[in-house]
Amino acid sequence: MREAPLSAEQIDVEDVYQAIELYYERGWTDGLPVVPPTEKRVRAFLDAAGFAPDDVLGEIPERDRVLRAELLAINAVMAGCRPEYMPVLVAATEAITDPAFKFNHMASLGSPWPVFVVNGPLARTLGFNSGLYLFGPTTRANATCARAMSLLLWNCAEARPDGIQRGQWGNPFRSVGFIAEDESTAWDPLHVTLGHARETTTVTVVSAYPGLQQLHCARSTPEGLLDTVVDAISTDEFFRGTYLLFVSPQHAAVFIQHGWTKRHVRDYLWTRCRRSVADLKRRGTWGVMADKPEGFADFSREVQPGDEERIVSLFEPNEYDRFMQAPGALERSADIYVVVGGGNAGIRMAYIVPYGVSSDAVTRSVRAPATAE
Amino acid sequence: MLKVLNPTARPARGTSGIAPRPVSLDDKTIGVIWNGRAYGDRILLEAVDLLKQRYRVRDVLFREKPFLGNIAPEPILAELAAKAHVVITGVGD
Repeated sequence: MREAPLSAEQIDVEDVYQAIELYYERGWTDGLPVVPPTEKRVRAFLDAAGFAPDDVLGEIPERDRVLRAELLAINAVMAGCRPEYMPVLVAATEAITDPAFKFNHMASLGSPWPVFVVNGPLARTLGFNSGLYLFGPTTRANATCARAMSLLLWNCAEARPDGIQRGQWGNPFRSVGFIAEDESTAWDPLHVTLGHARETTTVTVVSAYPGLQQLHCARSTPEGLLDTVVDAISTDEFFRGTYLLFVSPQHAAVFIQHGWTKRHVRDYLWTRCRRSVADLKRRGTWGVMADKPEGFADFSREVQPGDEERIVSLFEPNEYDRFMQAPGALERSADIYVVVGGGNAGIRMAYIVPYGVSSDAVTRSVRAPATAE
Repeated sequence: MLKVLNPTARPARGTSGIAPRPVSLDDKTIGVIWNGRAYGDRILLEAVDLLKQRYRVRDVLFREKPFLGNIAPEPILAELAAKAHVVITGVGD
């Protein structure tokens, strides 16, 4: 059977070096050299995932763009991926084009960018790092898959500084935000806690503000470990959304020894991340995220009598939400996803502050490549 | 010799572009869409005041989006498309 033709424009170059320069000249790369995408290489990527060039993986209506398998394959080749990563990248593309993830928030001044967590057997088969130096750089799978998603949106959705990207500080997760979970502990891995079978490979995407906050958690009880996290998250941005909490296997063992599941960890943080109205006012956070705060009769940025005793929950819906949370965040999901990783000698936990104003976390299963007929 | 591939995607429907600009706003109706962010209304109304100083604006239709993360509801878009000659909008904090 005749192969379906590729739609992409083909450009003649003298050699690999001229190709590399061409992608710089045309603004098609992120500052690093690319692997020149030839038709033969792109077809190997499509075959690895069982896709025809024109198969639609997702749409970005805000940019009037359709992400076809061919475009993902081209950008994945450029990023330095191997063909066998394609099924994982397909799931990642489906996740970020899910309407719940809502692409257009990524143009925000806050520089949100998706962090991808791979769970399941393919994560290990493909060599994704879940251990030491989790956010790398470490392995080819982590580094090139992160870059593939970055280049895909750079080239196909104008997500670049001379396009629609309007973030203030940028986001290092564009280069390193593609990781796997260490599934060697007795805890259920993330995808199982979200209702997927353990033998399924999944990609979970959370829109993350730039940066990883690490915390020195040196105590040896579940409460002692988590009180450090409660304090840090409560005094951080106080944005509602789905947080990623990274726990080392060493810390996970402490929780497991005390009979704590990931759900216990999540619930402990959920109910305890709180702050007084007075604190929030002194910090200058009161009313900043709410739209039109002056419209509320009882709005005041000055500490008032009783504000020390008024306690605001970060996660639990409460009477102060209209002063503290963006209206969109109140319609979105919030959670705390506990992910094990970072190697077995870690006494530090880490977390990522999410962008929850108009984006939900999304998990997609990785489909096995279709069998060629 | 090597053939390499263009990695970009063009707009699928190819309809994006800049609308024709009116020569003057005299006797024109100006639509305004505020995304709801604090103080955005002040900036937009200030812009409208400046335009009113320069032109004999017929009318101003000031509309607010319920939420900045979504496009304006269809009734607002339909009303402005039917009644306004130009529309001012923007995003940001």
